[in-house]
Amino acid sequence: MLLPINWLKELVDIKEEVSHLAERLIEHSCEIDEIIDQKKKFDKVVVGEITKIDKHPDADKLVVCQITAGTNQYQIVTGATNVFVGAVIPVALDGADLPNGVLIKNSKLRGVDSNGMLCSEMELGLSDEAKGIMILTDKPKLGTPIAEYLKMNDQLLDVSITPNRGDLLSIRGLAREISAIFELPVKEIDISYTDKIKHDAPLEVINEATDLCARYMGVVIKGIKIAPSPEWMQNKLSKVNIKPINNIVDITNYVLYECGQPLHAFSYEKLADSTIVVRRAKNGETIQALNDQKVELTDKDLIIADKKVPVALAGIIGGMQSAIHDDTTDIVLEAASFNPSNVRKSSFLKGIRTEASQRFEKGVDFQNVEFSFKRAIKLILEICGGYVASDICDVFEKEPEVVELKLRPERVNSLLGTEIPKSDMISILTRLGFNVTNDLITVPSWRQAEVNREADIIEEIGRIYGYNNIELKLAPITNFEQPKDLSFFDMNKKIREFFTLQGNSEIVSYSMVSPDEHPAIMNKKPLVLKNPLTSYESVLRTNLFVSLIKNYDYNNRHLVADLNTFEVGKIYYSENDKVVEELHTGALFSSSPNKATTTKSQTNFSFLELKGICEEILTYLGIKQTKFFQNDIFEFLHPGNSSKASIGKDTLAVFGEVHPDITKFYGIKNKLFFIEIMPENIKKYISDKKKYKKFSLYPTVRRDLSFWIDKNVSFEQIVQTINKAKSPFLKDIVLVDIYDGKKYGDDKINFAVQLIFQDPEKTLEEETVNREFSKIVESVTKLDLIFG
Amino acid sequence: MHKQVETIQNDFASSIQKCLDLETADKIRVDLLGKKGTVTELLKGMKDLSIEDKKIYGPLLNQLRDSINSQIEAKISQINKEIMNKQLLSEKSDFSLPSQKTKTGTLHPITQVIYEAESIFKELGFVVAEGPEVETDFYNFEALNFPHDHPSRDMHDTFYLDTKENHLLRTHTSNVQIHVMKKMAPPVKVIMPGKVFRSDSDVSHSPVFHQIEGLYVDKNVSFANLKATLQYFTQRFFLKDTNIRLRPSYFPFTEPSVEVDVQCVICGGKGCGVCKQTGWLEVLGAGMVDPNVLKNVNIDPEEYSGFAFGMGVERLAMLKYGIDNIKLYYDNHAYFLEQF
Ligand SMILES: [Zn+2]
Repeated sequence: MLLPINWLKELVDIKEEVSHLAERLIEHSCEIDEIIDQKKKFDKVVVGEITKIDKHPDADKLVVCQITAGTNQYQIVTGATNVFVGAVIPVALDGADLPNGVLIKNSKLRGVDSNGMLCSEMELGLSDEAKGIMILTDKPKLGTPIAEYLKMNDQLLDVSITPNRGDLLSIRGLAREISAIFELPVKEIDISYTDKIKHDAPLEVINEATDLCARYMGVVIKGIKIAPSPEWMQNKLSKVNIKPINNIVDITNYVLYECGQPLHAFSYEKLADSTIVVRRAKNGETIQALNDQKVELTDKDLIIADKKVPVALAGIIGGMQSAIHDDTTDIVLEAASFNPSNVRKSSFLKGIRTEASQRFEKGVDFQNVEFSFKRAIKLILEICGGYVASDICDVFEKEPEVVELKLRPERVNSLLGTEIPKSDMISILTRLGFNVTNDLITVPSWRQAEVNREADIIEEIGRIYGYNNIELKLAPITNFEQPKDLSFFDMNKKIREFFTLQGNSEIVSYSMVSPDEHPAIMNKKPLVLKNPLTSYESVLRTNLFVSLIKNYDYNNRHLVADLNTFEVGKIYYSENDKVVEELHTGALFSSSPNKATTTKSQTNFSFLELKGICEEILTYLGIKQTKFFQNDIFEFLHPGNSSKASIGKDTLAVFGEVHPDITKFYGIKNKLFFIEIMPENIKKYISDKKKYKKFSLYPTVRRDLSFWIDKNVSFEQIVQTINKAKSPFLKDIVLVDIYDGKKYGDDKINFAVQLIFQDPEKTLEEETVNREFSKIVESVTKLDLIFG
Repeated sequence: MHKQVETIQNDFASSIQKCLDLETADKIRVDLLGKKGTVTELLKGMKDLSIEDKKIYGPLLNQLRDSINSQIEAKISQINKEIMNKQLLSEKSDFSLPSQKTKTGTLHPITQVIYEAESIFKELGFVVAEGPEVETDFYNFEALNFPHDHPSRDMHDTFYLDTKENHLLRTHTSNVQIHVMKKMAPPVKVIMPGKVFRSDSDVSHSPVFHQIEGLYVDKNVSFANLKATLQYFTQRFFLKDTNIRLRPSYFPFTEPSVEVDVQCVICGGKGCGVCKQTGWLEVLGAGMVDPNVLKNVNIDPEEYSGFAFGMGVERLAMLKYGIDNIKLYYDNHAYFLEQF
């Protein structure tokens, strides 16, 4: 809301610098977005008179004008055709920075000195179009700054008001607040008018919805003349960016701005049976609104109607049918208090938000309905003529109950951490319009919408006392036990540490993704946004792969191909109509960890290396026993080169080479590898218990075993067969090499393994090792294999 | 005899000085101390001398032998050292060549700010808590004293999900306050970082951003405690002498509510482009927990009070690292990530 200082001064005799006023408002009341100095945009523009006009020696379309502006003389070249000797005009001088963005400098035009510019209304930002130079027919004193002439020499505060301070949304409200801060009296606005002519117009108001309309006031004013409003009013409205329309509309807008109460005026002649009914609409009723929208009404909407049809959607917008026209002479003026949440609901459902609806949403002051109503009547009679032609209808069930609160000074001080004397508290509250008698606080009518609890009173005292005056007191640091495990904090930290040490950089992505990524990517039923900002951010990701591959794609398109990344974040999906949200970690590899490839071609990264990373992160997090299975979770991984690590039913990680279809889909040429880790499952199996186990320092003995075997036999089967020999000294089985030669056809593959023996008690004897080795060889012979 | 010894000494001194390699050194040793070496021969001849001569020449010859021996040893070790030096120097690397990198990854600046903030608040006894991002109206709004059909809801542009229960994406981390207080009886002192969502996007707004929420509920918690906590944080996070300024504001879940500015860390409060010449930067919102919120989680506001605060992580990171565009955080360009 814009607060013009001159308008404010009509109500409070404030002498402070505007900057200081702004500072104090920021400290105690509300945010100030900007201090606007109107004069600034008209700096170095003055009133001048043309004393002589000569032809330009070298240009047919230009003339050279001699200008006098008080004591100074200027020569200015112009192309304007409406200039004449004796014309009084606005002159922009060297250094002027005009509202339309033009900067004025002394220069030469076709070789002739030109020391400024003659201005049109458009160049001064006064209108959207102009025919030639602005001629000041009222001949102001030469040399007068144009800002002064235009009465554009005010300063304005652009005040930003929070939803709990609806009372500040008017000049009167801000004046009250400022008077409280500076301890100055507020002048009361004049609402007196003469009502002497005999009332000759019937008017009846029937309120059928007292729950939605706390108060309704109406009056008929006859014999008015619709015309432009007076200049002083137009100036004030223009200053706060309200476009003057005609006297009646301007007056309702003016009173709204001045006093904060929305008003509505409509044609009395169009009112059937001189009756106003405040009621819920009937389902199916419609109204043609002033914005030309045909509004379908329901029984949830409150309307103002005559005996037959709706004339207004209450508190939101008037109807076309009863609108005031240039030849209207008799009007009904309305001022009311409507239910805030009902106005909000209707306004939201109809998609119509108006200045009025926004005020009603915040709740209006019951007493101010009458005050503003009378203020408007006074202004209408003075400006538009006419007379009060009906009794004032004022319909309400009961006045709102007076809100009374107890002042507990010790409670105020304990919550603020202060030692404010009670007398200071009372003084603060009194300045704000509260009445305090015997520790009982009465809330002024204009604050009742928001101040109705002790906490609200504490806030009032705190802010006027000044939050910056409250001393710092650090609370005791730890005086109580708290559970440690409120989050995944420690595990996430470990995971992040692990991956950064592997050479992966962390990314943070939006959770919203496009539903049109490669179809294999969506592995679960995604949650869908009802109101996405864009169609490519309209569903929530069901895995972290989508974020990481999109990021890889982005970097790839920016010519960064070698990038290993990871993300720790939530994934979301819907399962049996339930929302599931899980914290996952995903990591994407384009090259071997820890090897930055600066000049050479990419380092090869293999599925088994990735498996190693999977095992290592699980071990690092404290998982002891994991089994690897076929990946049946992520379709976007290579069906052959992917796997999942599980314990029982719980999947702890899924990893593998990215499916070639996917890399192709994103135009990525190299192989990518991906792993997704499920910490919420891992958490179940972490064992923090660490126990020392004795280890043997006796030497180990190694024996090599090499054989050809069918490709379909897994390494795990081989290990199991070796273990079947139950050798007590077999300590480890190490895979040395896999060789995929063609010696025994395409189906056979060669394994070279090393068996490591150790006796925990003593040095193994050659004989024992030979015996154990034979046992094992015998056992593996059961598999269909060829040694060699 | 004396003369002989003297000659041997002089000859040795000149030859050992000229000696430059191990072979020569060995030859000198063999010539003098070998089985048939000059000194060995002299020592052998001792047995033919008289007792008086033995007494004189015995120590003299032994001394000569030991001296020669130790000098040769010293020479050999000196030569070995020279050989090693020569070899090492021949292996010298050109240290101006580009290194062969072993790359460690980086943590995202958002994570780094969250970790740093967490560790500062841990010093004050806060513990970390987390909560869901997909939320119900109750936790995100209602329990936090945002009534239905109230203008306070306009402050949050909300993403809604197409689910039976009309889930939404949380618009702030304040939802975690409710989860924590529903789970634990006071006292509670928690810090709640996380991702939040607003359906609002322009140059300075991202539909996804991060907040750090704080909550402390106990007996006798005061606004003065809140101020001290926030000053402690800002001075640890920014500069030791950073001041804070509080302005009245409005959040439905706190009363009184304030916006908190820190003295501009760019210009030190003199006024610059970043602080729009005010000398102050808005970094967080805070206040005393509204009694309605406490009631909503069955805590008696007469017995307990508390404070809560929330701050934008991207904003803190911007001030800390000078990141001037919010888009950078979510583009995750490799050249951006590697700087942190
Ligand atoms: Zn600054």
